[in-house]
Amino acid sequence: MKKILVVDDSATSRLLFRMHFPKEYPATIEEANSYDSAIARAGEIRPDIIFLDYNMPGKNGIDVARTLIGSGSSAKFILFSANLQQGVLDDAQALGFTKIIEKPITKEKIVSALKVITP
Amino acid sequence: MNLTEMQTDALKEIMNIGVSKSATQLSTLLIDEIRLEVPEVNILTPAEVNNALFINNVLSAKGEESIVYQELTGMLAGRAYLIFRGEDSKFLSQAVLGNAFSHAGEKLQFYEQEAVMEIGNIIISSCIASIANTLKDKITLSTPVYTEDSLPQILSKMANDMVVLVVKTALCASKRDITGTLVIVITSDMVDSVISKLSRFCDFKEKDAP
Repeated sequence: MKKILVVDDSATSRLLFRMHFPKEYPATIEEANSYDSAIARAGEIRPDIIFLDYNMPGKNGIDVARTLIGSGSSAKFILFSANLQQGVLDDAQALGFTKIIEKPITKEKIVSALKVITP
Repeated sequence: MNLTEMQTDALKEIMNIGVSKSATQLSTLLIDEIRLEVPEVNILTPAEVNNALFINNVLSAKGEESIVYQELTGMLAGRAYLIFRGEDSKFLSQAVLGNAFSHAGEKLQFYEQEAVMEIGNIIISSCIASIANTLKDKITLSTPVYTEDSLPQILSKMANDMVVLVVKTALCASKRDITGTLVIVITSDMVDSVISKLSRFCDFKEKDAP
């Protein structure tokens, strides 16, 4: 059973993620809505996979990953955003994000990301 | 301040690339075909912006619009507004949330407004990201803000002698009567740098042509 953390300031986006997440995939899903809550929740549950929105108030999703990687997290990071500017892609790739998904989220996009992690 | 024909054409093309991306994202959200209006590009004063949007029936006299906007900084400084008529925003959120209503329960009303904000975020961000990538530059977006204030009210807070670059297009869902209008307002101090970027883009296009 994989532990998944979804980090997005939008409650709608988190709701849509749960709605589209494949039911057959063995996982528990936890949520965080900000940089601070993501760092705290990741410390508590030690997720295997973290889905990160990019554009959040204050620090962005890449900042979350940078902090967690710095503190020794072994989670796989997946960025999901509508703001896929080249600079954002470059930053995510430099940090070793496993997959980048373009919003809006769909079941197919989640499945394709999970396949990269557990083929 | 006027744009040359070539600059206007380049701006329309860049915006067209941006809003085409937005249309694709909205189409995915609604599972519907999205018709796209060719972007209109104008340099106007805030008062002229209001008049132009009233004339085009984007704004109603009753001011029943839902507006999502994001601040832009970097290569473009200003704001991007996505405007829906009041009823449209309700239909839109219901169409997108669909089966998720059962998950939303008592929070349905909260999710209706939240959903419009997230939809606005996706449409604006994808458009702006596409523009930034085309011009090989960076535009930073704030998190989205939802407001039911009227756009004339919002724009009236801008100094009247300011010049704004307005790019207007409409995204219309074919199966549902939903129309969103995207308006990008760039402050006067950015117009020169946008023109300079466009000139380089035009130059590149001409050199690139066979």
